[in-house]
Amino acid sequence: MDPHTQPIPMLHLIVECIWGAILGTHSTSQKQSSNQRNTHHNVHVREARRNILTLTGDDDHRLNPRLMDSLRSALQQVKEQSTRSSALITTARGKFFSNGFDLAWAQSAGSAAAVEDRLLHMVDLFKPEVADLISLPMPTIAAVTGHAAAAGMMLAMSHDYVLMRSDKGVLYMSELDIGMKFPDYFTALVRSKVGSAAARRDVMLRAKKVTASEARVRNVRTRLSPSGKGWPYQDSGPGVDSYPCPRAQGTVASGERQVYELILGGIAFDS
Amino acid sequence: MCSLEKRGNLFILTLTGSDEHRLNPTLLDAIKSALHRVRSEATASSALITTAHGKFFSNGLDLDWAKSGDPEINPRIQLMGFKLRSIVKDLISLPLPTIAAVTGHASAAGMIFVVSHDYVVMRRDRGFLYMSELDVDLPIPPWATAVIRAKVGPAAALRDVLLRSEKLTAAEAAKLGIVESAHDGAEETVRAAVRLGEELLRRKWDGHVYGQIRMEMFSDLLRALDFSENHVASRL
Repeated sequence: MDPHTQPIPMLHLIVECIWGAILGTHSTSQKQSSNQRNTHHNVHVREARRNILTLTGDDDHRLNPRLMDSLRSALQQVKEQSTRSSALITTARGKFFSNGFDLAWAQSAGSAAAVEDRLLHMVDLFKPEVADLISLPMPTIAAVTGHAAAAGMMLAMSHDYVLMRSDKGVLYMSELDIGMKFPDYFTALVRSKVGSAAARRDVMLRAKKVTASEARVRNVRTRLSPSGKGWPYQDSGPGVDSYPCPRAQGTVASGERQVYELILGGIAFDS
Repeated sequence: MCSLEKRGNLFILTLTGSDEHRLNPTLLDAIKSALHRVRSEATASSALITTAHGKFFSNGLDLDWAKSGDPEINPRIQLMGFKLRSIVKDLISLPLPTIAAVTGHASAAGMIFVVSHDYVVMRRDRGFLYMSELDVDLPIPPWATAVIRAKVGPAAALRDVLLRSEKLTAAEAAKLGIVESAHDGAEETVRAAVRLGEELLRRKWDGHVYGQIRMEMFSDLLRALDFSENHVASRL
């Protein structure tokens, strides 16, 4: 089975769907006679389809209508092509995962009413994205390689797992600091993903900039990853990938390893 | 009963006197008035610290005044419950950060009052937070459980507070995430509250936005606080 890369170039993001075969082993043991045990190792090859959605460019990946449309299409595509062993990893290039809604775009509207409209428009566009991610028929992993603020943080938290760089980047609900309220679905998302009341208060009512290690302690579901330097992900070429990926480094590769773990753990979803 | 003073941009509400600060209608009305004043006098960046004199922060509703009888239908208990509920709603909608500086015991309704604040700092060497109801065979009204549920995080903590009637010291409460920090002595506790208040003020938040975010955060709780009003068998 050939690994197959289908880059789907869209404005501001790329989705690469890579599939390959993974060698997995599990052993069964059969009692042949009363004092003999034979152990069989079954080697099987499972198809693993990992979808890597990357927010490209070195900017702060603001969630404006154009990016959100691309995101919506990308998720739709991923969903349509999903198989029993699919997973999604969402990540970004550059210093930012996403800095939230495109406030500059909103503010460049003609009047105060038009500014308000643009803001509400983005709020309305983002809500189905969150819904799409939550209902995606596969495990989802946000590999947060940079700052994730406001709606950008919500984007990360819409994933089942959040991996962060241990050395850089924060999760940050910036709204209070810039004098904005949240939409109700932001609150619902934080409430469902952040376990402790004190942590929810610190995130929402104190606009705390949460680093990877703090996020761990404070029950915001993240896992530390070895320091994600750059963009180490490489397709290992045609052939069969073996587990665990021996040179796995970096946040994205951690996400991938997570994917391998999930798949070998037998997690499969019926689309 | 209670005093309200202003130190810079910090409002300090103190339950005065060295008694148990039982939440009877008079004290509850005084607290409500004080909060009303805070709301109208609050400037762009303000914060509220609530504290108390003496050995008790508050030991709960004034059950002596209520006399005996089934708490579910006792009108005096219902009255105090109604007034406290109203104060909790005020605290949730208050357009400024709120800090409880717990300098003594806070039990039952007193603990509800404490955790209705955004932050709690507490005296380390004396005093408990304590939902005493289970120990004295009193049912907790649904709205009060809703307050605890909204403010006390992990399931085990909730269980220990409500279902185990744990007397929590400051250190224990800090571990459960209910209390920010523990301090030696009443004065140091209040000073810590002032420091926290000033730190929050430095963020220069819009009080109006702050209050709205808080109301959104606790929207479920606000609904639970309202529901009882329409409840026919009007328990607390």
